[in-house]
Amino acid sequence: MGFENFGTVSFTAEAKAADFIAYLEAGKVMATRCRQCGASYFPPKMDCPRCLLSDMEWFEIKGNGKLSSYTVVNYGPAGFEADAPYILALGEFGDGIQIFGRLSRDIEEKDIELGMSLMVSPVKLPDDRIAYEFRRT
Amino acid sequence: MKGIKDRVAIVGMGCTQFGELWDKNHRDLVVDACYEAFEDAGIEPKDIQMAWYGSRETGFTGTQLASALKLEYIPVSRVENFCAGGTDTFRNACYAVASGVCDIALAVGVEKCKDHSGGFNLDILEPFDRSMVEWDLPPASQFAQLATRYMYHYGWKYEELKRIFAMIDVKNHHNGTMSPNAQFRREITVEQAMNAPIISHPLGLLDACGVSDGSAAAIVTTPEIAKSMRKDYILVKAIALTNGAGQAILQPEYDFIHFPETVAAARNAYKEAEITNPRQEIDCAEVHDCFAITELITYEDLGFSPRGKGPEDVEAGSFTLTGNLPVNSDGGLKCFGHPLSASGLRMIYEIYHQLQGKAGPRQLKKVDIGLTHNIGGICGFFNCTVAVFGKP
Repeated sequence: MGFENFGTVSFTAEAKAADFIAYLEAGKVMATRCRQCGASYFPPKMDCPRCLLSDMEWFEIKGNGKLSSYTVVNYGPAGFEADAPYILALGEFGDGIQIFGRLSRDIEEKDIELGMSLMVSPVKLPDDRIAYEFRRT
Repeated sequence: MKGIKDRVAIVGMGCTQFGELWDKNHRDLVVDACYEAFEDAGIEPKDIQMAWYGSRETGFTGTQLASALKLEYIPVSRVENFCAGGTDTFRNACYAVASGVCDIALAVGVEKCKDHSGGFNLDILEPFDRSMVEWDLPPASQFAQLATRYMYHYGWKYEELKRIFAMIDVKNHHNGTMSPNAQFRREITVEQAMNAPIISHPLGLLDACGVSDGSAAAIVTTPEIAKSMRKDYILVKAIALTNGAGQAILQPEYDFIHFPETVAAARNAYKEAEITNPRQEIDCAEVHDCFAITELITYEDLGFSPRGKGPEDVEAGSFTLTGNLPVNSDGGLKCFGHPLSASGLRMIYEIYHQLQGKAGPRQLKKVDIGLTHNIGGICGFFNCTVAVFGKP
């Protein structure tokens, strides 16, 4: 349970990492770390693909990341036509954390620079849905 | 482990016009491609003992091919492996011959992309179960992010890397002017490519391949039988297939500036073909240029250029028809479009003719070893083939 309201369109309802949504609603974007081998994961995983154990702890992604890639989706795929244009981006947040997501609509394409500082925050979408997005620091 | 090197020969190939073929269905295209291959090999449909049919968009099961060719109750398997589907179809036929279970096998790839969902649709199913997730990343936008990441990693400015992309686009369009079967047969300029409308930053319209319908086919047999059929048969030196397991999602350190599936497939193919220095030993290659960035990264993944140095080879003209390793001599996906399961066999068709010295105005001077490469999917879930061919 927990992912019913995540993102623009439907997502899986059941997931071991469903606490991610409760954290989002509490204003936090969280990742997981394996207590055994120390590997960090975003999107959060509850089973470690590296050591194959399931001893994970949550931690909040705080502080600033760096924009390492982006594109402007001018032609949205099925289900996202009305969203286009939107900007998809990849951010590096240290500790092995790379986050893929959308840039906030208040950042214009002309203001984007590779390597620019970003933060990641929960965002409320229409129809009671929730996701996360990159914002200016 | 015994490889496939020199154990299978191509004795006939066919390839249709690629383009917006509104007046032909997939069976018409299969008939056109296969009958060219039958004529080339000097055989008839009744001589085919086993067949493989590659298609993603055009109906289910091997009966699609059996009914098009009126094959008499022989085994036909349908193969689907996204953009690698054509070469995987060919791979299955080759393995059947190499295993000794049949003497003559047929591999066919076909797609009708233009009249399915308005083309190669933006609606991506693979690799996710549709009940689980909707995906807001269409193909152009995915490869665009690799392009931006390439700039970030190597410190390229937008205008500089766009010029490199444009040079790749111009090269492929030039080669395409000499390919009668190509969808686009006209020259473009660097300025046109750089200034074309942006599909998904930084990729513009002319950095992207076309969308088309088409079919291509190959007839394979043993080298012993091939000798009795023609002098200029072509030998298969290696075929490698790799499929991603979600590594981009599982591995936080995934770098988005290379395709691990290509690196692994190339390593396996070079081992099978006994190639130790691909840049020196391969004379021409057909690589997967769905977008200009894909071709650029592939130069590096295949070992044609050192990591990060692909752009230097582009500027030096290394991959043009007069360069020391011509790539996409027929114009590539850029000019043929990309009917998924047909593309791999279309590439083999070009290498086959280059090796036979029958590539017309595109004919290269020295061709002893040729390579084909396909890659399709999304990061972590790519399906990739690398195949190597040579003269007897």
